[in-house]
Amino acid sequence: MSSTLCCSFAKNVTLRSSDGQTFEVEEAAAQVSQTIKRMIEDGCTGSVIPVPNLTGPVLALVIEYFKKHSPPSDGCPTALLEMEIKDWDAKFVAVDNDTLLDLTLAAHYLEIQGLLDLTCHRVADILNDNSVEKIREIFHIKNDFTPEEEAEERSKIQWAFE
Amino acid sequence: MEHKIDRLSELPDPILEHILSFIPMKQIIQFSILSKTWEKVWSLFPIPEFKQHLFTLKVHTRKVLPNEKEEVEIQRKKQEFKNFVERCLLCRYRRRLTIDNFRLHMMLLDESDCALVNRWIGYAIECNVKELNLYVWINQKRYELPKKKYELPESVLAAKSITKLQLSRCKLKSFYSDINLSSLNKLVLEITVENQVVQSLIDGCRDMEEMTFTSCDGLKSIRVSGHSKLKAIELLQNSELESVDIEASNLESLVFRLTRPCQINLGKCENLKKLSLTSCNITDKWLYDVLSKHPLIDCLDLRLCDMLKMIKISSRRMKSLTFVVCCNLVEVDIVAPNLHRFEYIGDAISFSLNSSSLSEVSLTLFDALDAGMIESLAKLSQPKLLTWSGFDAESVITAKELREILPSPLYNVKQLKLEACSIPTRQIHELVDVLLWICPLMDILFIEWQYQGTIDNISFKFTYENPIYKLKSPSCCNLLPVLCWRHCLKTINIENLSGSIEEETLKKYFFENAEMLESFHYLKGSTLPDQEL
Repeated sequence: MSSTLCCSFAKNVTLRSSDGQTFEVEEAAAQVSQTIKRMIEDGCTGSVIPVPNLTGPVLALVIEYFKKHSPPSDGCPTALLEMEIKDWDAKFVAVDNDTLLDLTLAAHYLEIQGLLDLTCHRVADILNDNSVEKIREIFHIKNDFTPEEEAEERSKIQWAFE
Repeated sequence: MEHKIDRLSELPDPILEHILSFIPMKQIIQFSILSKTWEKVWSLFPIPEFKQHLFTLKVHTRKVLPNEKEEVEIQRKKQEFKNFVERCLLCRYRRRLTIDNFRLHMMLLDESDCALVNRWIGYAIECNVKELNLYVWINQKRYELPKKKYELPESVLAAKSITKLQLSRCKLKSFYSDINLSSLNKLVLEITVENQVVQSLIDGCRDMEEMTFTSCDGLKSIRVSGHSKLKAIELLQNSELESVDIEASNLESLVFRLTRPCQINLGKCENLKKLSLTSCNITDKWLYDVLSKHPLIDCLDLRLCDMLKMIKISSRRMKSLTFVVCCNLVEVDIVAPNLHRFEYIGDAISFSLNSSSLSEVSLTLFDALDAGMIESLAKLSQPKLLTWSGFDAESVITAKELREILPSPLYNVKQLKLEACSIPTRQIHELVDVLLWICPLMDILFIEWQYQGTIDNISFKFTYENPIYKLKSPSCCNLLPVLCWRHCLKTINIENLSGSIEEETLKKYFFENAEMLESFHYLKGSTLPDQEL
């Protein structure tokens, strides 16, 4: 009953990023985030909801995700729709690593389980597909082992490389 | 410069854990050499079950002794395993994380290995381990005496965080000054032990919900009383067990498998539902008393209980009954209106089964089919599904003259499933003829047998003309309340796995005998959907 009411009035909320940009988004869509959902339930609507952990560009991306994943107004999602969303998701996280990590952190702070699974899986795929040396390069990880130390560490876990 | 920041290493642990949850453990461990920060990955995957044999070489299973080179490899693998366990535990210990479970399966070589295991247990207890499962033994030559065993450190029996304790092959000391497993709810022992230690463990853990003692040499007697949360007890093959006294108001399941006579005293266990006894020296009277004192029992399983002669059961709750090779049993008399499942393996004896809701009967009879057995079958309360194993096809065929004097015993059985050693494929129609007399209105007949070393089977699906009422009494079924298949069978679908059964023989037989038959289908190479191999 209440959901049909929501549709006809399409209530909006305003989100503000850490650098002061504001975005208007449908309340139902924003509630994909458990954190925002709680704030709305606690009566934060009407005023602007601050999202201090996200910069404007990242928040803009997250809002795109909200819109795609807001519960459909006309009942159950169809199999076709699900397929389409899956394709969209795959394209959504095909971004540079910095943006990917931004989105991962955003999903964590805003408690967006679907986005967190999506981004973590994407990071895992990158880690899985590359050697230790390559991973260091991709993510700018500074190797602070001396060559001797590294050789020793490596020999201790030789079995993991076999 | 800004884009060169290493942000991956800085991710909070929960996110890293989430990422790593999509990656196999071996791969995760490789990440530990990314940089010194990444040492922490040792604590960022679920703690595995530590099984040493996953680290042994394949040559180890060979009968010949390993050569020098292989010996070096074997030693290296052993060391790697120890390093692996140590690092998983130590990393968690240093980071003050909890260790949910510590499960170790390992062969110890010497004192230093024992000390190592003691240290690991120490880490686990410090990190509030909940489940401790140790399967550890000391490697010894077969003739070497005395037998050495790993002795469990005292700290384990005072670890308040432990909820599940499982010990195999190691040893408990004869005395522990401080037994305080206040959270323990499941205890599983498969160890050599002195009787009083087990008793003090039982007495000291009042909140226990489940206990299982298997092959515990030294265990002579068990007393259980005042354990209000106890739900299940299993006592399996404890070679020295002489007496058991149990009184537990919420006990639901009790399983005994004995190897020697044992005095079993069951006090008030008013919630007991499942009782399973194997090789128990129980008498008819003992069983009768226990069943009348515990009216909630709904599952009774008796195996190799040779002192039982006549079993009389009268219970409204009983749902499942199993009797397996109780070799002196001559009579079974059951009144159980809610019985659902009945399984019997043994000599053909006199059954009387009175139940209205029986759906499954499984029989394995050691005798050939005769008039006595037919009478017993007729007293099986007409289950929907009858499985008959070890049935002797020859004796079934020769039993055909019985139908002159006896009515069809199982006219309400809908599915008959037979498992035979062999069947005379040429005489299949004679076999089917007798089976259709035994169960004259079944929907499915399924026969499985050995054929040239492999399993072959044939299934028959029958449909009938409705309604089946009786206007006259044909000679073939004048002893039955309904008409038999000969007068109402409409369609037959046969599927034979190997094609060893000839279609023509069966086709001829059915068209000659079924008056109303409209269609006959035979298919080679298929089986019933639920019988797919």
